Amino acid sequence: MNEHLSPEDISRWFAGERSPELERHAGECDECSAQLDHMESTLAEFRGSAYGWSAAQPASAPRIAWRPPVRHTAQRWVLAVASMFILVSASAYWHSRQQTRAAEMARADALLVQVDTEISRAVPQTMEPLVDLVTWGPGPTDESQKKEMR
Amino acid sequence: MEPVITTRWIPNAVEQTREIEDFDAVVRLYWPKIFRFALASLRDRDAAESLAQDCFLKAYRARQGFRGEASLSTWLMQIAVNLVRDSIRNRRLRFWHRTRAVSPEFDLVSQSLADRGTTPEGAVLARERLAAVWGVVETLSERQRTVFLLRFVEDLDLLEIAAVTGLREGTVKVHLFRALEAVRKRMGETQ
Ligand SMILES: [Zn+2]
Repeated sequence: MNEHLSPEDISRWFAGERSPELERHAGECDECSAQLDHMESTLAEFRGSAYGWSAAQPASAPRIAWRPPVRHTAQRWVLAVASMFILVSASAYWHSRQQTRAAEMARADALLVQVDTEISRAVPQTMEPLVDLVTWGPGPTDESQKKEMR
Repeated sequence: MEPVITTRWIPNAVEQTREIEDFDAVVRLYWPKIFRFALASLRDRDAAESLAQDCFLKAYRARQGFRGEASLSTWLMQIAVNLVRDSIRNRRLRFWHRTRAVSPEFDLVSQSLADRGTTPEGAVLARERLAAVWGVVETLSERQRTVFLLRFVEDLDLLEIAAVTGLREGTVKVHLFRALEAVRKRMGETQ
């Protein structure tokens, strides 16, 4: 190929379409080579300007509302464990309160029974000496009463 | 006619899926790339930052489904490209059309060229060329612009651009050719 590169050939070259003929001519022809160099340096300047422009922006940094995955998972675990702890504690506290209350109720019942017994056993002071002579066993049953009546 | 394919190291699927587990590191590594693409596409810093946030948030939510078939970089860029497309279609922000002023960063670029020994005249010319290219990029269709930015800013090869955009390689070439034609014609006018 002895003809110079057409303007379209220059664009094709940078669009990635380079035939062996184009490459051979560009390697031999100073004029075409200079045109390609000029375009190349312009595109390089353009790239440089895009990089410089971007880098010159004040504090362009990620401000994204996500948390790192590990911390995120860890936080979930902490939350889950804390919730479990609160649940278990509350349940244990409630359970112990119930047990305490039940024990108190049992003690109160026992006390009442004791008081009952004490009351039922109470006799006038004057009769107390006699109490020792009486056996406080169970009273006569209906059966024994029936036997005696026969 | 041969496609430009650069050979680069692509981590395997296991390494990719392992990489995504440390999402903070993923954000730190890929944020500049995604933000840069968003900024060049939208030409609005706030919109670009918001888009980059959305991109990583979407990726974070979908990370369990990432199997490492594509590289993490390609996967993130796919999300970003879709978000740019949605944003432009919605036209809610009207970013690209709103910010027509030449970015002050062109001054930084011409300054850096001057620092590297380019003559003041050369730096001024470079600045004008840059303004012209950015001006052309502004007029491109969303697809042409995306393909152009992925190729000439992010340095992706044609197959990677095809993977990111979901376009066929031939279609990528066509978009790229049209974008380059627009740039070349504009440069012809400024010379
Ligand atoms: Zn020639």
